[in-house]
Amino acid sequence: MELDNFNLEDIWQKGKHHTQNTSHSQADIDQMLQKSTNSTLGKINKSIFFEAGLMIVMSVLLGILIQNFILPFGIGIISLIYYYFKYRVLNYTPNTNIKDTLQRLITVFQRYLLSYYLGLWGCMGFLGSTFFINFRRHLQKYTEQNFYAQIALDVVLTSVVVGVFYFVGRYYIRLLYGNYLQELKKYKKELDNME
Amino acid sequence: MLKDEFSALITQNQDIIHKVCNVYCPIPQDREDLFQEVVYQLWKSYNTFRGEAKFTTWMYRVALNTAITSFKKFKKQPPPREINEKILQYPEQTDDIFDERLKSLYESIAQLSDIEKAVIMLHLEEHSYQDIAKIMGITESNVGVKINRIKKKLKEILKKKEGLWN
Repeated sequence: MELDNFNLEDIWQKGKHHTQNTSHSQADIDQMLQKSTNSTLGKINKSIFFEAGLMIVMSVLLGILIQNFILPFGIGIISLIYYYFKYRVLNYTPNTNIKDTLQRLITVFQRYLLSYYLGLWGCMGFLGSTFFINFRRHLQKYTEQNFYAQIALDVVLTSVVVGVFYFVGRYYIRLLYGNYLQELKKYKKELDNME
Repeated sequence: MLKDEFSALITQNQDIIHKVCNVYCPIPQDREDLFQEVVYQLWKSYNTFRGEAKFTTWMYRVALNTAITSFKKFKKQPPPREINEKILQYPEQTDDIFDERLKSLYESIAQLSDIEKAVIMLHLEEHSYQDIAKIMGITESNVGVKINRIKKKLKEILKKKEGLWN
């Protein structure tokens, strides 16, 4: 048979009986539904609730510790927004057409990443200022000379700490989600180009 | 009971999920994971199924949505060229020329983009242009154009397979 006469539909239909799939019984399907809480998604959901609860407890403890609830309140709110979007992205049920599903996921995922980066930048700002202030206090105790050199050293060290924190944070996000958003956008664009 | 009704329907139509898993997962162990994920997503959205479309069409829609947008994609998968006979397992016996061609067809489909895979799979499964358009979210008139392009692309890939067409 020449390739020009090769009928894809014909070989696909004939090939249906050649696949080696394991047939699942109704009991297997029932079991899969019961085991849903043990699935990867179920585990992630559990971890979301655990992490969100832990963040709230930590925020309250931090508030008690520093005798100020403004910062812990902010951290708590950011955490809740973050976990809300995380839960929504992970538990989205795709019941619309593929193009709409992609658009919806892109929107939710963009918001989710924005909330994540806002949290990251907030933490960086907090970490940077805390580190800088404490470092200045520490140096003033021991040296009164070379003021500009000390300032320069402070700036460099603070930049290193904040930079490391930023890149570790970014690496963590990429490790968790890779290029997922880019992939979704690529598929959406492919569907748009069909129109 | 709703759950019993659902699992009976899924058991009856599980071939659809297997086909989607075979096309989207070159690695056998991932197929079972995707199968479970699709069943889970189907169950979650079952209460929204109102019979506006055929049950099988709805199953394809949810299964393809799940396969294309799956979080499992974070994990690195081998590029299409690395997909070999052991991974694909299509078919079990490869001594027959038909089986070789079938295997080549699956290998060629594996080299398409995820969107193209969905379109060609629905076409090969004899869905109407109207159904394909509804599942993909594109206009009916563009479905035919896209199918022809994908078929041309598939034949180009298949041409490179030596010894199959002489």
